[in-house]
Amino acid sequence: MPNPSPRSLLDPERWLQEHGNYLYRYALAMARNEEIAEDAVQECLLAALESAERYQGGASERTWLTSILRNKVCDAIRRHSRETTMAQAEDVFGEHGEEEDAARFNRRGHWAVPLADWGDPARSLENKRFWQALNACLERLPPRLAQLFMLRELAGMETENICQEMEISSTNLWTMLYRSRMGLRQCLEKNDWS
Amino acid sequence: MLSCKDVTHLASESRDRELGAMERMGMHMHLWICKGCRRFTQHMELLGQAMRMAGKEPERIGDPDARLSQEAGDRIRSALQRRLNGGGTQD
Repeated sequence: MPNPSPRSLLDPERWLQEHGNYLYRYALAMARNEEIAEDAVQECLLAALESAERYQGGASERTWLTSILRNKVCDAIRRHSRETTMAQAEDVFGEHGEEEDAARFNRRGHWAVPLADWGDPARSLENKRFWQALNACLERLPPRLAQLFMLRELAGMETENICQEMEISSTNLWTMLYRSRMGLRQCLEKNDWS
Repeated sequence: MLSCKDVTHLASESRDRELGAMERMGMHMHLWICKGCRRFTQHMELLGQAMRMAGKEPERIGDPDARLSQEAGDRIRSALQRRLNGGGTQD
């Protein structure tokens, strides 16, 4: 047996058992790619091992791991998009953006179709069908848009942080978030969940 | 006078950056008279609230049955073990 050290008291095996699937689902929701999500969970637990001495047990273990996971998802997405041609796909969606806008607004920039009243937000959030519709709409969002939207709205990352991590300009990020929100809103409106 | 399209951009960006005084004023004047854009901002607010909620309860989003595969679990386990055994001693 090696001499006891602070490290030997750490139990990453237990982290994996208790939080592994939770972290994986969280990462998968953000990255929308199994490989990236697995990668992020691994890097998250490795980083947790390194910083465990500093973890004072203030927040719950799961909250602590989740906060590490967010940045690791960013890293994993970035690594992955260097290897694939995701960056090129952005331009293609850029063209779509113009078409989408043309259908939403008339030539003077006013709504072409009136917007529906979605009723009381508190009740929507309790409505199972709202969540089903939201999930279906998130599915349909192009992966790159979905990733950025999730980092911003689900993980609650600061925009400056996302721009740094994902190596994009803030104008680019704002545009992509706009397109995500417009797409989701329109999709939700078509789904009759209320 | 701002168009609805302009206002949707501002309403979206107000969630990501601080708007300037003129932008804020222009948007509020438009919202005062435009029911469509008022609804739009309500929709954005609901979307934001839902995602914040899902951030705390991630089982609401995505596949609630998704599990790490056996292989991925093993791979992660051995990476952790390697780090525990081989990682440099700091003390």
